[in-house]
Amino acid sequence: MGQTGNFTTNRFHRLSNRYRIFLSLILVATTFLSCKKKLEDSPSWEAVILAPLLQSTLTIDDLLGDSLIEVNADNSLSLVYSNPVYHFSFTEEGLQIPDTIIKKSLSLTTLELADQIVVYPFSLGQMCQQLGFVGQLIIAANGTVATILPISDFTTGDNPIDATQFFETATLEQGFIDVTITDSLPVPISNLVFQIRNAINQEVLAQDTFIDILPGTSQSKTIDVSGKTVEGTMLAKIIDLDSPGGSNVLIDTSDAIILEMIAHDMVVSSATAVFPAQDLINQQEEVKFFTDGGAELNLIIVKSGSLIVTVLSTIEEQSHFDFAFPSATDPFGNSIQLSADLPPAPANGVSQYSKSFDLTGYSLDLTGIDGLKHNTYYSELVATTTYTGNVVTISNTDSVFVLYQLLDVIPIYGEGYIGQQIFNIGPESSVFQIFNHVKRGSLFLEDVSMDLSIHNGVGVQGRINLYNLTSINSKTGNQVALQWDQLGAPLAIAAATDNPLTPALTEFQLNGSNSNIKSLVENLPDQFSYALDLFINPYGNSSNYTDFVYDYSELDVNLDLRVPLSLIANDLTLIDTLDFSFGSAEPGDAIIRDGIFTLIADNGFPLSTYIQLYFYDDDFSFIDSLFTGANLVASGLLNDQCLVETTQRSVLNIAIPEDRMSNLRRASRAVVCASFSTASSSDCNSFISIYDYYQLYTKLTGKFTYYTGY
Amino acid sequence: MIYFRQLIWLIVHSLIFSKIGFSQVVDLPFQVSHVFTPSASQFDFEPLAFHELIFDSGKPWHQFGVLGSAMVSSNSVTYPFSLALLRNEFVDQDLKDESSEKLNEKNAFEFNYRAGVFYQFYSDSFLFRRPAFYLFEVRTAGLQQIRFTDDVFNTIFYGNAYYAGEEADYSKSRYQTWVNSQFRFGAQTFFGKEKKLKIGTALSFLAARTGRSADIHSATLFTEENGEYIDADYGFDAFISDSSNHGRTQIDAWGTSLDFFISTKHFVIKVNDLGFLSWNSRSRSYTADSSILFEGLETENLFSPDNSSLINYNVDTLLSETGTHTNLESKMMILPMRFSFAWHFHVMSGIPVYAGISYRPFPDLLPYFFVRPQYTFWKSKNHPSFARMACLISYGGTANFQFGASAIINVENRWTFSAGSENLLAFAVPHSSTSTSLFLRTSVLF
Repeated sequence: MGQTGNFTTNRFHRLSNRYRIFLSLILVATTFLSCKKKLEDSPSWEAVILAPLLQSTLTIDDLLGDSLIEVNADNSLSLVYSNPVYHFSFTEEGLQIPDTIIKKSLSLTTLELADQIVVYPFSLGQMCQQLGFVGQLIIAANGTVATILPISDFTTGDNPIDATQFFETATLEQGFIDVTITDSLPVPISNLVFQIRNAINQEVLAQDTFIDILPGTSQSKTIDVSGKTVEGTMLAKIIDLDSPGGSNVLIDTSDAIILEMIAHDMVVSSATAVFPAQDLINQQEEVKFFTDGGAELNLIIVKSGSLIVTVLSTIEEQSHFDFAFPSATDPFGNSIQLSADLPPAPANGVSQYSKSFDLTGYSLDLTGIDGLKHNTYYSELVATTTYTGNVVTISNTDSVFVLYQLLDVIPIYGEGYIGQQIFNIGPESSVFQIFNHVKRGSLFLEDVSMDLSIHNGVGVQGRINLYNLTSINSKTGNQVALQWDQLGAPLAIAAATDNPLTPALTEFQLNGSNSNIKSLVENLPDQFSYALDLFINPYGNSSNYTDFVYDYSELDVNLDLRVPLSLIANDLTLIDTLDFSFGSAEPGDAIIRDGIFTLIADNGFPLSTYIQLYFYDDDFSFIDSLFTGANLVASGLLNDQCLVETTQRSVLNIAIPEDRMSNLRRASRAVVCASFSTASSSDCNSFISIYDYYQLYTKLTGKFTYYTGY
Repeated sequence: MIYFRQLIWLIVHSLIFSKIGFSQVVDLPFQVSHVFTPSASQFDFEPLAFHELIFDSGKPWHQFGVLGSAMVSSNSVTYPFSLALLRNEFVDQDLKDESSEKLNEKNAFEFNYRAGVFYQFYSDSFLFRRPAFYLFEVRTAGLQQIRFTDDVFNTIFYGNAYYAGEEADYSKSRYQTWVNSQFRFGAQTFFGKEKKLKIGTALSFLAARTGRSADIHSATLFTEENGEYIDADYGFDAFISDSSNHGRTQIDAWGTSLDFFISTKHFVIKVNDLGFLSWNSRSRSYTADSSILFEGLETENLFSPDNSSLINYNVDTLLSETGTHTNLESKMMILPMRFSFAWHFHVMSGIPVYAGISYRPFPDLLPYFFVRPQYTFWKSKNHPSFARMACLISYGGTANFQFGASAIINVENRWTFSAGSENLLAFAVPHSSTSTSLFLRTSVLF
């Protein structure tokens, strides 16, 4: 370190003087710079600004809101205020379509087998084989004219009939076999007994007797085999054959008795067979749903919702189905259609097909198939099998199931009978905001009227019973209950009309002559409590299914207040709390250090006002008040007709020195407090009317020290 | 002495950072500069640096050097006040009062600085087939020039309450500022047998940024006695250069300037900074010729103010409501040219005197008159080193009476160090002074 220092020192001394001077200057300059505080962005100073800041011209509209003021013919004003008491939405509370899940089981209507024909020839030669010596003589005479001796009690052995290519077994609910015997022998048959039986269980399916069949002729008989179980392999047998024989006949051993069997009209309850193509199901099905309110609807237009159709089958044959939902039509009149194949069900199992339909915008006709029902929709299902050539087992116990799921249906419109419902409402309370900011003082009104108005946007009659209405001033604790001659009485509510929807307005007026409503209002309430019953269709289905409701249909119960602004106010004090921020200041920020603000008010209202602002911090601890001196805005001057003829100017100074300004910067809330009193004079010491041309002109000016910041 | 240190600080800061934080726009002088200053026998007073006899050794030479200067000048704003502004300090009441007392109907203020390096040489046949001097110089500089009425000063620094019930007049006030870099080439040659006629010229290319200007043709402001209304009548043109991106390398304007001089044995005529700057088309200009009666911002309810009406009050609404038209457009700006004439004579042996007059149409309030005698020490034929002192007595321009001095030390005709100030009174009686400057220069001849 020392060496380094010496080296540096030595090098410095080795430099010429001019270099040393130069380096010293740089060193001094650098040292000087390092001592300088950080540069600010700009210079700063203070200037005294004198300027108008804010101005406003207030009419009663500005003070109360133009929606609350109504100008009377004489330019006097009335305060009109509609306070909602109760709101009812039918789509939310009154008209709801429940989710419907219905499973319909559809049985096979018929199960048919195709007609079958079996031809069995029994030749003379075959017969001769079983006739012994006589038979040999006949065979020997073949081709010659000879005599055939009489034949009696001739019988044949079992001759198999193989029908397994058509079915293996079939239990017939219905079936017929047409048996035709044709005698092609040269001799007549006097008696022939014929039998068919199953080869395995030996059950006799058919046995019949044919008599006197002449050569070259036929005889037919129909044998009813209903209820029989037919096997695919059967045995045919002639149990008894008798013939008188004949002389001088041409012997031809190929001549035969021809047996023809036609099985037809076979309806099976169960079969293992090759089934022909056939309709299994062709059915219309109605589904009825129920609503909580007892509504019986004829029509709904769906705002949203879906239909899910699921078809299940136990049929072990490929089937095809056509599904239709005629009750639902889109805006173009098209109904829901579905055509699909259903694969064969596995043994002891089911096959299924499912599809969802968005019903948005669809109209649901709920009058059923005959158009006379309610809450009822219907569907159509046709199920068919197709010919495959395969041997399968089908019985009439096989089924097709259709599962209907009507989900999340929200109607945009409903028509029919909405149902009879009763809503017991209250005791409940409703905020009454117009006097919300009034904290104290008294207000006397020359007149008050209030309408209990019911806006019914539903095409259904109603009824309301108002049992109680109480004005509550929570600041004073005063409560004034309504006294009215209609209190508790049933009040009819008219139905809205449609095309276009026109809500019905039903009003019941409460005024000084039929109620104590004035006392209720002069109580300066901040809320009303009420109890009422609301009846929907109190007289049942009096509209004969012509009720209607839209999804935006509402029923509102309001209290419509109308107060002519002719009043006596006595220290009527309004208080409101506002968020307030004077802005926090960092060092260097431009700020107002101090100042004198002046509120200039030219008052044209017959109301004097003491105004004050109180400032609070985040914890609502009091910081400061705005006015430390006079804070009265004097009322306008009344003439002998109690009208304000001359505005009166008040100048209120607000001195805010630097320490108060610092306090205000901590404020986060300001409480505005204004106390109003009506003006009076020797000629006017009663109610004072407020007119629409009255104005209060205010201006805030400031003469303040402005620090520019840096 | 503290003020001298502060001025030193300003100059050093200018030299090192090329920036003095005055409202973030540090500005920028086109100092009058002589065409070139190759002589080791030269004094240099800023802003009037006039041509002098040139050291003529009769053989080629080269010189390299650095220079820097800063000046603040006003006819009314005191030196401490200016210093507070330039150092971004708080301007207190006393500072305001002492300046306000000095205000005239018309006032001027300027703050200029520059720093640069130069290389110059003597050649018998570089561009001309005759002996000539050539100069290459690179500078960075800043300028801020204001001409204003007393009401402008009082309104800004005291507030409009100063004029409650009266009308303040701001007419014919003007302001301009910018920062620039300058690339300069000059040549000077001689005529006549004794080389007494000298002609020189220099051409500069300028790259500028951070420009602003305002020209108030006419403006008055009446403040109602109780502040119930303010009535303003105004016509002005203003301009702000492209502010979209201001990296240190951004260039908002290009320009050129010409310097020229001609001198005989006893007279010098000079023209400096004859040129212009062309600001790019992203420059924003503001023009208004209107009036406004302001009675406060309209609000629907004074007792429950709707803040939205205040929030919506921004620069755009201000421009709109004052009828100010804005445009993005290029702008041409004439440089603050200077015309000078000087006379050289001797009042006695060994004491040459320079006297002259110069004038800038803007921002000068008056022509600038000066007299500068000088005296040389230790000069002998046998010793190449010498020292020279000069004093400067001047009046006019943007300043009042000034008394300055400068010194130059030459070491063996090789190293030269010079320093000077136009007004030493600012360091002695700062509160009575309104201007000063400092010039530093060093060079080596080889």
